[in-house]
Amino acid sequence: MAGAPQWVLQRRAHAEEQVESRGLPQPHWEAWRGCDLGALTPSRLTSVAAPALASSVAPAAARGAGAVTDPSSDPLRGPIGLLPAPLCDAASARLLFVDGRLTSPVEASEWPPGVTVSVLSGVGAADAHDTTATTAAVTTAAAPEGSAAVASDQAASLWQGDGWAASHLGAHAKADELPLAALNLARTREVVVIHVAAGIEVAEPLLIGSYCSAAAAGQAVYPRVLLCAEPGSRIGVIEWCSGAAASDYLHIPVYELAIDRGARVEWTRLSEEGEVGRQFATLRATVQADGELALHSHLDGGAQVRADLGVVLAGSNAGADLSGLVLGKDASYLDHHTAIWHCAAETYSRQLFKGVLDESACGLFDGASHVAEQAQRIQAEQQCRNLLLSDTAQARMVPRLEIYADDVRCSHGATSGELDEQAIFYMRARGIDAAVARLLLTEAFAEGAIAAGPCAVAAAYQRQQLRRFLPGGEAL
Amino acid sequence: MLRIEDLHASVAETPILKGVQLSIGPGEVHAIMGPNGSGKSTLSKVLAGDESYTVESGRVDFEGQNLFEMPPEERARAGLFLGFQYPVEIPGVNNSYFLKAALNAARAARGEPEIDPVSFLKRVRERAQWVGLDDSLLKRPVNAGFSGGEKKRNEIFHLAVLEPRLAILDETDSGLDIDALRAVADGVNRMRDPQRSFLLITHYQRLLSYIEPDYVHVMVRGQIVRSGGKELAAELERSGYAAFEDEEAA
Ligand SMILES: Nc1ncnc2c1ncn2[C@@H]1O[C@H](COP(=O)(O)OP(=O)(O)OP(=O)(O)O)[C@@H](O)[C@H]1O
Ligand SMILES: [Mg+2]
Repeated sequence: MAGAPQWVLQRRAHAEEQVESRGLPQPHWEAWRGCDLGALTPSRLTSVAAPALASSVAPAAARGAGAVTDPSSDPLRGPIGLLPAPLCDAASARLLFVDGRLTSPVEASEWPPGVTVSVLSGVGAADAHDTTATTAAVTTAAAPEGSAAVASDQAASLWQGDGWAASHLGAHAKADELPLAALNLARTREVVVIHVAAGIEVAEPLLIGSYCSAAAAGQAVYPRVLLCAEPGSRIGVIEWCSGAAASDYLHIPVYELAIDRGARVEWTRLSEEGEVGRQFATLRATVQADGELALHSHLDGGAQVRADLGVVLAGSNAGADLSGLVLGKDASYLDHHTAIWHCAAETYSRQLFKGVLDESACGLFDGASHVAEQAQRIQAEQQCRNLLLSDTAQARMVPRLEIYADDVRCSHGATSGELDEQAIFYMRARGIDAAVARLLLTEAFAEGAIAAGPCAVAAAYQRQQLRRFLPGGEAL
Repeated sequence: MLRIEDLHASVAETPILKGVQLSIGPGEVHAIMGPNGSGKSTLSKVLAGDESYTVESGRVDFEGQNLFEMPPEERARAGLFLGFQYPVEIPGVNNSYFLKAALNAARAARGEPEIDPVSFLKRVRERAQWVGLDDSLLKRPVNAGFSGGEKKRNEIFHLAVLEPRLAILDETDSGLDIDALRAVADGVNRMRDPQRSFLLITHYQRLLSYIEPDYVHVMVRGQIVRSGGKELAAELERSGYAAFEDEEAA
């Protein structure tokens, strides 16, 4: 296939126009009020130009006990070793982007039957900054029962103007409405599409990682993933964003999830950005009748991370379970903006977000539930709880309910507090160290949010990372 | 074992303990009785090391060590146990995991290795039976959602597993039904030992008919105003505290 499909180029051009006409988010826009937008300056939004080579990636920069795999000791793993090992080992298949580039081709044999993964590479033709635009290449894996010919047919049809990629790319995270989604579409270099055929159930999660190296310092990386789950299918994805410790990169990923009738998608975000790295992520999902999205978001570190999570419950009995854990220290600013649109009757949404905030970290939760007039007998719950481990840590919570139907069950709760000193004393009076008592109580607090996530492997990893986060946790 | 000398303590700048004197020898069982608000729980919290109370003056010697130089966890590891009047709920921390951590902390302080899981399990099962604690409460978070009586039984269960040198039990008998009271008393009696001492804080003579004290003390307004044998409890039961209200510490 020569060149990116015409429709992709057109959409990119349209997105670029949106960026130019509407500009970047402004602090007076409702959705961006109070958000530090200092990092979103035109000069910083340049896509990383230098192709990231495996050799330019310093494995030592990978954080987390999970990322222990040293590529130099395991040359076969290459940069894939940047991915946290426990996640890697449990995943059915993995994709790693370093500075926006896929590190190894998608191997057909790797992917579970019924799952088609395709990466449209080098779509940078519309990117004014990218002088090294390459011919678009489509690498596709398909169900093993299909012959190679079928696989490439699928790859070809996938990218046709009337294929499913064309009907979904940019249809959920709309360039006309979301300035960062427009920016991402205009600047992304590689678009991942994952298609799960009707009725297919994949037990192990797919792992998609995006890592920003030192080469991305001062620049932006725009990962883009589109997932289509056909009726009755079931799939889990672990999506990991991270970067080198001293690199002040900007991660601007966009994820679009099209969840068809009766399908279930379990999406786990693990954001572990480098100390001075920033992330502005956008996820938009549309769930059709009887479909389900379980979405978990773990934000650990980074100078500034904002996860914008939006779900449209489009068909009756569609549901969304959102949960998340925020771990903040230093002067991290970690932000969850969620929005659920109940557009049909008998839809439900449940949200549970918790934050553990230490030092001068700030955690923000802004949760909006919109209930359309026809969305009767719906259920919308949201809860946000924060634990402040220091006097200078801050939590801000903004619940928003916009309800036009009359027969609804909505609830919300927001709390922030400190560890219970009486409980700490009780534990110490039984001989348990003060530090251990604090740790156990903090873990108990976080556990509720971790256990609410859909993926056991990710949860185990989160527990391990929580121990690393907490003072004295590693010694335990 | 324990020697309290002229202890003065306050909370939020209000003096509560005003010169407490008390000595407890090895193997002895002492009981403190006294009207509400007289400072009994304050004494127990000060002994356990609750930092919301301020020790103004006085000295407490526990097995040859100055208690006030030790943080609460060190006191516990040295063998001081407080059964709380109001046991605290510890959400998310499994009861038996909690006990294992507590037990191993004490063992580590003595330079002993961690208890092996099989002996631990055996001990936990056995001691739960002593106090009639339902097995299901071992797996639940400490005290979380326990009934009032279950919390009290759980305190005695902790006592039985941790095997302290000195156990201060603050109104462990309050709020227990008759069977539970007997189970708790049986648990304590099993734990009696020439090397282990008890300080029971109670309002009721009934507990003392199950656990016979060697000494009974009456606390009024932050002082121990009278000490005697177990017959003092019976006298209190008859006459109430009115007769002691005017007494000053001897
Ligand atoms: N944390 C606190 N803050 C303020 N006042 C306190 C505090 N703890 C105790 N006090 C006060 O100290 C006094 C003694 O209380 P304490 O709990 O020691 O009494 P007690 O003898 O145990 O009573 P009871 O028989 O009712 O349990 C009371 O007047 C009580 O209000
Ligand atoms: Mg009391």
